[in-house]
Amino acid sequence: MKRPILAVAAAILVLFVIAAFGCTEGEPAVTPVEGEVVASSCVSCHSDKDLLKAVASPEPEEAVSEATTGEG
Amino acid sequence: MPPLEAWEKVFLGDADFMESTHGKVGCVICHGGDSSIADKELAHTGLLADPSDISCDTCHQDIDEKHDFSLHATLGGFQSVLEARGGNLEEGSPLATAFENHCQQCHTSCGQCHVSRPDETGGGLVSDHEFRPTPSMQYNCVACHGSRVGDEYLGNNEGIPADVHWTQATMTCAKCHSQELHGSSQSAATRYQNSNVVKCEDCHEEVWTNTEGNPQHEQHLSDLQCQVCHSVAYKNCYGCHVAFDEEGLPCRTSEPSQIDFEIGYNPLRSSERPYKYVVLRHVPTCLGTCDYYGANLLPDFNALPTWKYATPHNIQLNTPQNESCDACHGNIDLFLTEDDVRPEEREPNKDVIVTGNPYTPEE
Repeated sequence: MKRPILAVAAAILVLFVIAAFGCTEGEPAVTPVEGEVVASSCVSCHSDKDLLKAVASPEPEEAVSEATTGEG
Repeated sequence: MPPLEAWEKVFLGDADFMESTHGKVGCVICHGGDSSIADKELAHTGLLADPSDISCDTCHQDIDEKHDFSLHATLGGFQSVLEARGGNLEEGSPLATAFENHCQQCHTSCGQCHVSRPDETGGGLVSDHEFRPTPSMQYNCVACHGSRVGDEYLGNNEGIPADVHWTQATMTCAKCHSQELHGSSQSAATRYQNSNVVKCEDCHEEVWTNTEGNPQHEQHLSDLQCQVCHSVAYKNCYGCHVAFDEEGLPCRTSEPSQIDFEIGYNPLRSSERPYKYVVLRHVPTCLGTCDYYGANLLPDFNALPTWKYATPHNIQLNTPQNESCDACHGNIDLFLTEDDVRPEEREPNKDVIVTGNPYTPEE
């Protein structure tokens, strides 16, 4: 008897979590708490122009055929 | 459009983005990687530069479901005409290989319209990491749709004026083409089958409801596509061939494009497009487009005309052909006649080539 009760309780809990934190139009569901911490180190590098210039790997030059003519 | 430097592509000049709805989600939630590591290589392990395919539908399911069917995602517009011409696009077939090598890259994702430049044009953030509900006309739309529609609309074809929607109202592409670009939840073989496709009458309804005082509209609204009277000469392409060059690089050749204006019979005549006459644009594809990959890969090439229904983006109120009745009626130069069509293409175009004395008053 306990198992069905536990299953129902778990389902209610899941539904509650989805209702409380699930996606709504224009309001992403992912909690920002972790994200903000996580984001900060990404942003600290990606908003530092000089650092980016210094560490950016030169992109391999895309080889374009000289035989290509006309318009795409 | 010059490509961005590597650092520019990922530079966040304005960190205010982090305060936005998307910014608050956090970088790694969408892009992966490990932000707890200072080492650049390790921090970027497993990073997804464009996470559109796995992230956007988390919240934007309604749009994502449509997008899966949109021509921007499926490239169905290319595939449908190749198959209609008898092409076999089954995986591993010569034509499928050609498609994969030369056409498949012209595909876009959510991010490549709303966040960054398309990969095909080198990629890179458009405006920091701002999610732009309306894509940039310059860096997104015209970046791909430039050589024909973009040049027409902006007046880049020598001697041909820009579209009045641009010169008089500075309307960007998305002003007309909005939800249409996300598709319609149904597979479409061409953009004209999209039920959300934009129509002139969406804005110019009064043209249909009140023709009084405009004899041209009174006479012609039902049998002439708007562009027949209100567009001017546009670009036509010929003889596209795809191959690999001696160095093993994919290459493409085509004949010089031609600026022409050709009115023909409507190949898509329907209740939606009942016009008898429309303007026609020549497609780049020819019988031998994929000959590098094998002979006769489009065995039913003649199943479709090579002059196709067109909607040139250089609309004018006044055009040479609507200057007077005689400017169009009986003016054979405006019409696609047999002499305008290459002999080998006359058979597939027989239903769009205008015959006799076109559009005489008694017709």
